Amino acid sequence: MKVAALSLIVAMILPSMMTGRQAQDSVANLTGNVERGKTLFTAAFKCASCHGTTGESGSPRLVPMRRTQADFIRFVQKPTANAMPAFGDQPPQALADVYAYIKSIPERTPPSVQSIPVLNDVLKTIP
Amino acid sequence: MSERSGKSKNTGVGRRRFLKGAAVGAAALVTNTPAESAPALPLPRLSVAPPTEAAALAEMGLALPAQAAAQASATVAAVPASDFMVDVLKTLDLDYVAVNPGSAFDGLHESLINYGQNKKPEMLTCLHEEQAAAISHGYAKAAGKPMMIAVHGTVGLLHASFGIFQAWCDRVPMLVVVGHNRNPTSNINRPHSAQDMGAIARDYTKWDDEATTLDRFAEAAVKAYTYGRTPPMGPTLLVVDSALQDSRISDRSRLRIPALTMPAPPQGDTNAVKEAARLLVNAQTPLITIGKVARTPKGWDLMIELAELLQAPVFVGTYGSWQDFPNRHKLNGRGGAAYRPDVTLGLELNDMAAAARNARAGGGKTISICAEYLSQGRNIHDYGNYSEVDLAIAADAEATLPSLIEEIRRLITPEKRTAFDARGAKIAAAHHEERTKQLEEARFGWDVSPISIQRMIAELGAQIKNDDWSIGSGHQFTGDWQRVLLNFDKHHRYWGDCGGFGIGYDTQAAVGVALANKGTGRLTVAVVGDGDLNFGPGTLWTAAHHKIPLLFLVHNNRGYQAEVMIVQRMCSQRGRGTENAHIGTTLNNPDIDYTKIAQGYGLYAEGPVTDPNKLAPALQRALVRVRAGEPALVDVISQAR
Repeated sequence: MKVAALSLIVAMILPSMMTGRQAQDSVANLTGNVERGKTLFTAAFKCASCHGTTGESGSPRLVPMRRTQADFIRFVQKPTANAMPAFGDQPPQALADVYAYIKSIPERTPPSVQSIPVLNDVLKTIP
Repeated sequence: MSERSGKSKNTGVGRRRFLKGAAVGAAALVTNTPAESAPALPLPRLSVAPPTEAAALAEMGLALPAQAAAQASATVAAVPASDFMVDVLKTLDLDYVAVNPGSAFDGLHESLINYGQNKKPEMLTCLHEEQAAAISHGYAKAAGKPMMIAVHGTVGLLHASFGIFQAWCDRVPMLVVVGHNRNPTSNINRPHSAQDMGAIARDYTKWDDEATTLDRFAEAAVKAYTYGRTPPMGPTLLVVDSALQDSRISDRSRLRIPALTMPAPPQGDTNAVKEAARLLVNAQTPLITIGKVARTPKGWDLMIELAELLQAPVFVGTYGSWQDFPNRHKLNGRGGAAYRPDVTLGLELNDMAAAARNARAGGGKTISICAEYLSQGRNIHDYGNYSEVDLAIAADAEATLPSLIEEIRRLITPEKRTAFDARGAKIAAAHHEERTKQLEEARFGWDVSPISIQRMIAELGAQIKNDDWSIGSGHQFTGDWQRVLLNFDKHHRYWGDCGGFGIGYDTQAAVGVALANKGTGRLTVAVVGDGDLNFGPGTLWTAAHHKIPLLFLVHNNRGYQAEVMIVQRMCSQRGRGTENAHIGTTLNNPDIDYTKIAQGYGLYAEGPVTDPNKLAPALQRALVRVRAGEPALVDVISQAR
């Protein structure tokens, strides 16, 4: 019990003792859980409200995810985009889980406009 | 369609005689009858103690309905005063009156359906006064003229107030008639009476009056109609004493109806218009940015003429704008990323503050032609910031366009024409690039479920492309996909958003748009959010009951999704976690079955459609019903944004 409590205290204090570089490395090295990330993405954090349930149809699109995990977590915790809510109080592990889920979504090349009849019809009306 | 009642036999001979006499009398009165005081005298202002209803009426030579009936039996010439009110309303080119019934206007109600034969105006039965107002709002935009709503004192007016407010913010006319029992005799109708009934909606009506005599009713009704339709337009309100409606007229010939003369809308000062033309013709990179300009198809044509004459880009403004310029026109847009306007012409923009600031900082000029200068509003902050433009013209833009175009045409030299054409070619290239890029974006998530908004709109567009269609809902909840994917190539394609940015407009106003389109051969469609639909589902019944054909496509993302992110942001700003942001913002558990709701109101409906490949067939089936003349609904489970 004492060991567990001590571990918890160390876990809480340790990050604050890290240098910025160390903290970044520690975030970068987190291993995300895809299933947990999916739940967080769709239900808890409601990322789908803007980015679509699969990250493909919303704005901005999240797939393909071009950020590194550390960069993603840093951005989500303190976004530079005005419309994006900050998730600064979320533990890095939760955000690493979300990152893992987004990365797990297969990157698909969408069909061309010309190959989708209803969009091709629209294309023909553009002068 | 007409709801004629078979109750006319009760008032048979006398009413028919009156109809005959009234027709002759009204024609004569409209032309040259001198003003006379009405036999129905005004109710006295309450000073010490209110008289009883019977005493008050007796003072005016009127009587309670029962007493009036007794009097009527004594003289066949005595007729309901509300019949005269209908005579007045029939001079105002009102096709419809939307009501949720109320005893404070039961006299007028009875006269409309019996004496007026439920024609011009024809009564629409609404399940809520807000729906009556919203239907009227959509109708006025599509029909180019107002309709009337009739509401009960206080309670009915309060219910209607939100719809009136939206029309006010959208600068749309609507004739609101409020029945008012000024001498309530019971605890039930006392709360329905007020010292100043018009005050309830005065902050978002252009003009109001209370009619306590028939002469005053006639004049006020014509005034209300005239003021409401004169730019800047807006709802007008007429309070009508219920005792006056129920009173009897002994001498119809003493009443007259003022002739309706619509004033020409205000045009811009000649010298100011010349200066605007000079600035625009001498500009290297002019930009036209527009709000609610094209009130009529003529305005739409004038906008195209102006843009093509100058070869200047036309930016159709924010969500508040009507679609006043074809979105596929090569000059639609801001001219491209590199285009820096040196002269910006704002047409019917109530706020050019930022544009003016930016222009000044860059050495550019701004011009504003706007009717808003003629009415700065009241309590509601919808009139925008003060705009430090270089040239301000207080006028109706559509009415001013012919003189502006004429002056521009006069100033254009062959050399300028050549330069303009070169400019136009660059703008056209930018337009093509921008629109093509937007279309590329529509491909992403094409086959996901829930269905993407872009796919939902594109599939709808494909199904109606061979119809003469008209979309009755706004686009504030579908991003910009309607403008990207639908071809707004005619004035009647799109009627803009709600005006006041309040939820509850799309479903209800679309019924009004469809009503205006009925019989014109146009197919009306509406993309309505699930949140919006829940503000006025009863409108579906009104559409079914009156056989108003339109397709409701429900953009069902099961929540107020725009709010989810806003609440999340607040949660995160306060460091309390975002996990609870769904509370109060989402609509599930249980999911709402809009198909059953619509079916319950008598519509053909299907859904929820979750598979994007099944959307087109569902739309086809529903549109078969709509083209046959009835409303239909398709519930689509959609992406949030």
